[in-house]
Amino acid sequence: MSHQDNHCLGAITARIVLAVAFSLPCLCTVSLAQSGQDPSTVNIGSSDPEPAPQRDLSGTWTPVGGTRVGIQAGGVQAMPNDGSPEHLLPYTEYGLQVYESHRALEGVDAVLPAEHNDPRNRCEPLGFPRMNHYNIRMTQIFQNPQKIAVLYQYDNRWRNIWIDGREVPEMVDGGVLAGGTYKASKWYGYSVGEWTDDFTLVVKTVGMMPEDRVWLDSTGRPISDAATVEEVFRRVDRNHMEWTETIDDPKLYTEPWVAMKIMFELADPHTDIIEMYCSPVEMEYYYEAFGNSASGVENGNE
Amino acid sequence: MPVAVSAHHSAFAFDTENTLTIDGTVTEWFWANPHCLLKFDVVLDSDDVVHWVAETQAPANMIDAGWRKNDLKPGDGITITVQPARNGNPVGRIVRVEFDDGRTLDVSQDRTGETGNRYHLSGAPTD
Repeated sequence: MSHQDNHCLGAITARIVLAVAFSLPCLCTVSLAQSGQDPSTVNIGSSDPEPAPQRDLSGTWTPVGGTRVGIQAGGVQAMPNDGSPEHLLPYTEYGLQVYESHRALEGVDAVLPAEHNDPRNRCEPLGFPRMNHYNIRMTQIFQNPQKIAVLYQYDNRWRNIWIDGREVPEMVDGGVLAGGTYKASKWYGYSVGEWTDDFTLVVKTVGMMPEDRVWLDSTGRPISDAATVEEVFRRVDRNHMEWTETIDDPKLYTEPWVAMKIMFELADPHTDIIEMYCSPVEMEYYYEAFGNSASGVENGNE
Repeated sequence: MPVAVSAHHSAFAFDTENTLTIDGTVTEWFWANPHCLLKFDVVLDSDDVVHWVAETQAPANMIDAGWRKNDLKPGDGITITVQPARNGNPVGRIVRVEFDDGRTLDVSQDRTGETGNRYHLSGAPTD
């Protein structure tokens, strides 16, 4: 099977996954008029008619369909980098230039192993929103009245989403103004959430790292410090939450586009999550023992 | 200045059309990210020994498939099928491993990125 065939299979698989994920909340709709909610905003899966708790995302979440759904090695889940016309991104001229400077190990433009320049392989922080697109597996969410903490499985990374009513910071050169105070750009940015109803949290994140430090996905798609990332966390019932992400990055893309729409389900709260660290020592040994030889490079020398 | 490189995930370095099946003896089971590595020695008819390395998947995936960190030990005899490197070096990606104790490690070859490899453990792992 050729590499191109593999990508075609990936596209087919992705469509199946998307079809499953999108169909889940449409199994049936139950009116929640008694709770004062617009019935059109809350769909209840027939397998679990119990409504979600109000304004509460806490729990240990895992992608419906299993681990494979969240790996996203072939590109962001909703727009895999498989060369199909419907998955081409609306690059600006500069955005295409940045993309072409990235030599990724995955995707339709993948390079030979010895040619890559993915910061992931140096165990650099993936940053946000790439954390949403690199092995998003068991994800723990804790919250209190002030903030929500999202704990990712990969590399034990975490980020905060403020829900205390503050404004989304204003982007300025090299960072943000938060409440009038300058704060420098961060790997995971500044996230502020607002409940639009009792089951839907809309989160905007700004102030991430510039495009020379982070990638958007493992196929080399770029993201910049001019981006505003909007996430929608929507509890569709007690056991399910839809997590959607839209990229608005005028420096790199001519229009906003949806990068992810994955249905998550609650896992057993007693689940002990497996570590999945990027260890520089282990990565170095991996290169020495395997990667260099597979690339025709011995001990770092051609 | 030497630059370390990686074959992590990319399939271009490997011959995905053909496989190679060989007998060997485990020398190391490297249980780590990004992928576990199985190192083994193969004795040629000339009695020369070739040191092979083959990759599997991340520990998190291996645990989901029923594997444990110390399941494989130096000295274990194996028959292994790999997708070999195109450059002829003794490295490859594991397709299947048969162990002397009856266990097998099967890999569904699906490296499309969306699904990743799926590893299946059969037989009874030893405690």
